[in-house]
Amino acid sequence: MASADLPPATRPGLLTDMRTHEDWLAIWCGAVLLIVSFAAVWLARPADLSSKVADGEVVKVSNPLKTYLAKPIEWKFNPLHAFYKPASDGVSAVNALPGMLGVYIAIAVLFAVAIQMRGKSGWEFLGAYPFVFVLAAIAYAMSTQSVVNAYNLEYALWALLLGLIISNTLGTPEFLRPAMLTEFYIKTGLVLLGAEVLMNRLLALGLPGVFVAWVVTPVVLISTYIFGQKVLKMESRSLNMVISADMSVCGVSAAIATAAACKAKKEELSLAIGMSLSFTVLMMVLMPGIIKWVGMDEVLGGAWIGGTIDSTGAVAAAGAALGDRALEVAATVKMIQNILIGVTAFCVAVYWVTYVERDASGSKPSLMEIWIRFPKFVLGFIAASILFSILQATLVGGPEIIDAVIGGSTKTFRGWFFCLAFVSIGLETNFRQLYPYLRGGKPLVLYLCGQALNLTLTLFMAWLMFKVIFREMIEKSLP
Amino acid sequence: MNLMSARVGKYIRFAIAMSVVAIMWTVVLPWLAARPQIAQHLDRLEAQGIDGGAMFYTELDAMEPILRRIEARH
Repeated sequence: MASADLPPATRPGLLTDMRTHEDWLAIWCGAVLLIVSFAAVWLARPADLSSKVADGEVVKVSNPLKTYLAKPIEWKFNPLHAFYKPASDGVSAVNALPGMLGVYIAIAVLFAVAIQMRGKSGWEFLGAYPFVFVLAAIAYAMSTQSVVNAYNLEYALWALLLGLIISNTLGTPEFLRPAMLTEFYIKTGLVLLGAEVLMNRLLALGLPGVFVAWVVTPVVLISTYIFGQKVLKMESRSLNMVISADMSVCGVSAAIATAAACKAKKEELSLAIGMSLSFTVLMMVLMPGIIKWVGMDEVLGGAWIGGTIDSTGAVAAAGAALGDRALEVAATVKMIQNILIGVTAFCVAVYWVTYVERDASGSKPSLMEIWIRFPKFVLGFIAASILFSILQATLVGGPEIIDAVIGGSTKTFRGWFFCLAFVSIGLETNFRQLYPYLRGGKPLVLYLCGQALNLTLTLFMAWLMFKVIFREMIEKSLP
Repeated sequence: MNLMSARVGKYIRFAIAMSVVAIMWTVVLPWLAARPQIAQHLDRLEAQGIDGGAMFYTELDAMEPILRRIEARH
C-alpha cells in the first residue's frame, strides 16, 4: 500500500520516507551519480580554464569517467561491432566492453545498496541483475545498427520487444523479478535527465522559437487531453495524458516523464511509445518531401518539423534533408521543446494529485495531502534542472564543464536506466494485457487528431513568427 | 502428454521469434545498409553529426556547432 493511502497515524515520517521510499531513493541515486560526475570533471578541469575563457579561446573540458562508461557502438554489418569495432581506414579500434562493464558495476552497487535500504534483499537483486543487464545490452546493440538508428527506432522499442518475446513464449523466470524494477530505473533516469534540461537554452532562437515551442505545445497538449476525455471518452486518463504529451512535447522522453508523473500503467507507456515511434518514422520521411514539393521556405519548414515530429533525432534527420538552415532551426526548436519536459512533468504531477486523485466527495485536497501524494522524484528532476542551469550560467567555463559532465557520464547512465526499464516492462507484459487498450482504436484516433491539430497550429505559428512578425530578425540571423 | 507438448511449443515459439530477430539483424539490416542509396544517406547523417536515434538534444553531436553559431550571433 502506498504511504498516501495509509491512515495519517500509521504513515511513515518524512525522514523514514526519505530513507526508504522509491521516489526518494531514486533522487539519492541520481544525486550520487551527478555529484560524482561533476566532481570528476571539476577536479580534472584545465588549470588555465579561467584565462582561456577570458581570452575567448575555445576550451575543451574532458570527463575522466568517460573511459569507464559506455553504451554499444553504432554498427552497420556485424552485430559484434556494437561491442568491439576493429581499426579500419585509419580509424583506431573502439572497445565498448570495458565501459559497459563500468556502467554494469556502478548500477549494481548503487541499486543493491538502495534496495537494501528499502528493506528488500540487495543480494537477490544482484542475482537477477546480470541477466536483465545482458538483455538491455542486446537491445541497445540492436538499436545502434545504423539503418535502425537512422530511422529513429530507439532502444526502448527493442528492449520492449526482447522482454515481450521472453515473457510471451518461455514465460518470465521468477528469479529475474528482483531486478525488474521498471519504476525505479525510470525515476533514477529522469533525475539524471533533469541535469540535461538547461533552462538557459530556452532563448536560443529568441521569441519566435519560444512561441513555436512553448506556446503551441501546451495548447496542443491540453486540447488533445480534453478531446480525449470529452469527445473520445478515453477509459484511462493516464493513457490519454501520456499520448497527448508524447505527441505534443518530444516523443519517448516526454512519454517516460509524463507516465511517471501521472503513475500510468506500464502497458500504457508501451502503447504510447510504440505509436509515437511509428508515426515519427512516417513523418520524418514524408514531411521533408511535402515541404520541398509545395516549395515551402527552408526556415519555415525547419520550424514546422522541429515543432511537430516527436523525436529529437528524427527532427534533425528530417531538417537536414531540407538544408543547413532548416537543420539549425528544426534542431533548436526541438531543443527548446525538450526543455519543456520538466515543466510538463511538474504540471502533470500537480494536476494528478490535486484533481484526478482527489477523494470521491470531490473536495479540495489539503496541502499536506498534495505533498504526500506528489511523486517526489519530480522534485529531484526539477532540482537537477535548476542546479545545472545555474552552474552552467554562473561557473567560469560553465557550458564546457556541464557539457563534459553530461556527455561523459550522466547521459550514458540515463540511457542505460531507460533501457533497463523497457526490458523490465517487456518482461512484465503479456500481449493480452495490451488488447483492451487497443479496443475501438481510441488511442490511435487520439494521436491522429492531436497530431493534426499540432501540424496545423505549429505551421500557423511558425509562419506568423518566422515569416511575418520576426521576418527581418530571422533573415539577418539566418542568411 | 499435453504438458509436454505445451512446454515444447513454448520453446519452438521462442526459437522462431529469436530466429526472426537474428535474421533481421544479421542479414536484412546489413544488406539494407549496403544499398547505395541508404549507404549514402547514412554517410551523410554521420558527416553532419546526426544521431537519428537521439532521444534528447544532448545526444545530438550536430547541436554543438549549432549552439556555438547561435552564441556567436548573440
